[in-house]
Amino acid sequence: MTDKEIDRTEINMKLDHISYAVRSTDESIELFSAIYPIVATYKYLEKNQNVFITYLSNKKDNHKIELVEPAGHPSPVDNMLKSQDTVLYHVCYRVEDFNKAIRYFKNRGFFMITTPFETSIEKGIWACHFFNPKSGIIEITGENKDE
Amino acid sequence: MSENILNEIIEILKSAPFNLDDKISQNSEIKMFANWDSLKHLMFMLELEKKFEVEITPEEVTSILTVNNIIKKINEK
Repeated sequence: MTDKEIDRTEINMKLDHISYAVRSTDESIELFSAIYPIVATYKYLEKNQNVFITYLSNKKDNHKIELVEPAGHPSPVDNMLKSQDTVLYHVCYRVEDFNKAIRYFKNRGFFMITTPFETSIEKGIWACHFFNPKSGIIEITGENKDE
Repeated sequence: MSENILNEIIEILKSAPFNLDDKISQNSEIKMFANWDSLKHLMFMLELEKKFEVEITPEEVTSILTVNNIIKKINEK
């Protein structure tokens, strides 16, 4: 079976979080608290990306909201925040087989914009980002079975 | 060979969504193109991948600075 023929169900992809680039985590927490009142993680330093990560959730939904604030410069969200306080950054899917998912997305015209990296926040979980002008940025996270 | 590649690169840059009027040569610096930004750069890299069937790594996105760098990359495949 070629990569093109990998079925989406084989990747077992589930919506994990919706990510916003923010200038001020605290101000965004206040605003989002109307929908996502639980602060599950607060300003965790993701060294690989030089950003602070905050996760918001609620009891009803399975997905989270991620707030990404630059921890310094440069950071991957600097350009997005030049003219706005908050910008929709990406949608993240948790996948069962990380490397298979990379091939799946690349073969469907998504352009890989970050080298895969092991996240600091979840040991053993890898992440990378893809871009396509018709979808914007998407992130995948999952266990890297080749590591 | 390089001349053909250059012409194909120029063709990409002169069409949508880039629509460049700049004079483009092998020595042109990509970031100096009119109204160039990081989004256009990513879209350009994606077009190069499709057109020339090369794989551009995330590191190369930032290290490819000139048209000559692109031609070299395509000739390597």
